[in-house]
Amino acid sequence: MNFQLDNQKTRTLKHSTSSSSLLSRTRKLSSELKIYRPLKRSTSLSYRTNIPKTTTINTSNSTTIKTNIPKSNSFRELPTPTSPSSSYGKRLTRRFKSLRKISINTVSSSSTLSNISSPIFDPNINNETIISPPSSPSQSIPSPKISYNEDLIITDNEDEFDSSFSSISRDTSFNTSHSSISSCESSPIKSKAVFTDYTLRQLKVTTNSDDLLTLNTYSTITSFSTSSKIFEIPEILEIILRYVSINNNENNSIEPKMYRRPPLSYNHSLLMYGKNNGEKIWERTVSEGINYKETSGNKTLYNCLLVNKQWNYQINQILNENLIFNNDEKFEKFTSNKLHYKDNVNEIIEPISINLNKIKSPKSIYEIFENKLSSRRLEKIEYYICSNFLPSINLISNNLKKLVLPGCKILNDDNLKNLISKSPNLIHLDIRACDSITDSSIYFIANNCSKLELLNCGRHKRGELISDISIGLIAKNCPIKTIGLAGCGISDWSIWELALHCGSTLERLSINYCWKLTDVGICKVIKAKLIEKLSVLEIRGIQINNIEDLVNWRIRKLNEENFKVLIEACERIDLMINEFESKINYENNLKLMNDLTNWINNNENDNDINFRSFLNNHYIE
Amino acid sequence: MDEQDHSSHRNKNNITLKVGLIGDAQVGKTSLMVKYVENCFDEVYTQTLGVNFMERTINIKNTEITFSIWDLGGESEFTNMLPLVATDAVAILFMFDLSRKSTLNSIKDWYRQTRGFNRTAIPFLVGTKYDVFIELPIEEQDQITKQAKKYASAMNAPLIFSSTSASINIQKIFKIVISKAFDLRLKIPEITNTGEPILLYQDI
Repeated sequence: MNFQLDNQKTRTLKHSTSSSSLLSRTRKLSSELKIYRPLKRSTSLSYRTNIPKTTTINTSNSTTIKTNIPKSNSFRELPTPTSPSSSYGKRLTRRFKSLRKISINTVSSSSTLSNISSPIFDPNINNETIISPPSSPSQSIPSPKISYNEDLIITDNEDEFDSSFSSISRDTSFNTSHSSISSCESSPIKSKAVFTDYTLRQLKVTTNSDDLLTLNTYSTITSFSTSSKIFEIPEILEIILRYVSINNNENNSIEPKMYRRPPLSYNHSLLMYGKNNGEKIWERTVSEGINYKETSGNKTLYNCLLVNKQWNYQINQILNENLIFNNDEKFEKFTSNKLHYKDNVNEIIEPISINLNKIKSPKSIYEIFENKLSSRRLEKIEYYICSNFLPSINLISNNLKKLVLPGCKILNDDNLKNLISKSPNLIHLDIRACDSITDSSIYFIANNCSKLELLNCGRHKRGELISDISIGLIAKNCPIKTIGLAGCGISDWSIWELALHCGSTLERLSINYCWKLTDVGICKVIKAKLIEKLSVLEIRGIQINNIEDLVNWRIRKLNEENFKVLIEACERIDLMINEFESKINYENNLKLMNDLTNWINNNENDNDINFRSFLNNHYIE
Repeated sequence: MDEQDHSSHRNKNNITLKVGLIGDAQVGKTSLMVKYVENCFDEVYTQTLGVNFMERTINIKNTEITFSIWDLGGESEFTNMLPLVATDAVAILFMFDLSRKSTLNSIKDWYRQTRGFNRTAIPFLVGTKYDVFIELPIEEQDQITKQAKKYASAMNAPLIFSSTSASINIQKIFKIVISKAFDLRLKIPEITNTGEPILLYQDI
């Protein structure tokens, strides 16, 4: 077609896009070929290995061609053919024709990329090698990402090949990537003898895991009948898809995990992180504030929705287990959307967790949302700063373990008591910044939730509503591990109650801005070793002065148990802690230096021989 | 007051001091390290290929001092591993063979190269094989001693003559390392006379 003589030294076959006779051939071939198996990367590696490899390929007439992969060295040592000989051309053509007849019996799962046929080599023809990747029929076959180097030459036209072999041009601009395979209607032929500088390294088949998955799903759509049976067994499919969904869930932590609370001021930052880091961290704190992480769901999971009905159903089941919404738009879309439930409009979703973050939709929309849900499996309800609605009593069941409603302005004692009365197995209750909750609710919780391990009722406003009466009862009745009492009107008595009743379980204690607390509380409790499991203590803005006990406790934990304790404090307390610590360090170092000086000046611990006795002995000899 | 004493008592200190051994081949760097760490001496010479590393921990009351000793092979082909030994070292012992003058002369070169990687390490000039040294004629001993003193003062380094096989001044080297590292007062008497195992660490 468009073969031209360009250079006698480098002869290449130019890629031409169509040839009717060839097209029909390939069509036939492709129909025989059940599934396309793309080149694997390792095949390109195998060129470079020096071990000759034998590849067996079944032809349609059930004869077997045995081919050897020659040593790669021989490639480079090949003499460049100076001029094309006609016999060479004919041989090549014959070879080409025989390749046309090859049908590769590769019936296997579409998803497996592992068994991939290797190219054919024939070293028997005068150091000339013909390499042929398997044919790639164009229709209904996923195109693998195969990027050929420009030196890779693909010929289409065998009719013209015979006559015009001598007029082969080197086409440098031919650079096939994905399209090359899909548009190529025939088996590509490469001849090493034809282009000597071709290094096989340049043949790359890129298959990363994403491609694998898209390829996988795509091929399942197009040729589902040929796909592995395991994709038709719902139980196994579910396991596979759940595995895919693991990443999806990991990305969905809405509230960022904080290792430390942000510093309160520039000086405080310096105290907390030292001179070098303190400045940077303060700048970051000022510029960013607390940023909530945008959820970036795993796209692959959504791709899986498009595979087929069965996949769609399974994925929906998985997605519906954890309902997570970060903005009104998505929430309302979900609420109004009935597309997925065409078959069964009344289908009820049975989520395990519901997670709403700053949803400001009106109550009416929320009610529609809730009507779709069943409480049968519901274990976690987390509504962050959703002021317009509350979880209704219908969602609450014995299964509920986690109830998180921070910043819910409409939550009051009556509502909360209603919810709590139906959830006796609650473990995790977070009612931060719910200002209208009073002692009465907490008292009720203490009496109803005997398994409660985490309670957070920290607040900025109206701290006087929560006092010793309720917290004392919580300490008595619940196996508290974490308690947040920031800004509550509790006194030292509550701290003692907590220490005495929950001392063996308490791990995290926050008593920031509890204005009634004094040294008699937390400091003495810690000195008395009543809460030995405590690892995080937050004491911002409380009126304590005797921090020696806290510092000694921290040092003791580190030295004796190698257990790092975090004390989060405000600037005033941090300053005191720092001063005391440097005082301790100074004394410690002084002592250390004394010890060392004594040791180095002590001759008894010395194995050295006195040189005088050595010299005496020496001269006597 | 009583309480503070109580807490500081419990304070455990772990200190690690990295010490590099540098010098010509066959001066006895590995021998010195093995002698200090394991208190044994082997007459057979084993060439160090690359870098050797050993640790010795000393317990002093509540303090653990760990000497991590890095020993660089003396052949010139291992000079490219010098940064490994020199960086972060608290002290670097420049070692030469008291019975071979040429090894003392090459200290200049070692010192210059090492300084390029570590400007803060405390340099030490350590003469080895003192037991062989005393066999030499007095004039030669005198000449070597004088030159070593000259080098030591130029390097601003303590000068120690030692013998690994006879256990002379081995422990003292590391005691001086501690005293220099923490700036502590050391009362070990200095030895200055020719023919004696020189021990100079003050006013250098």
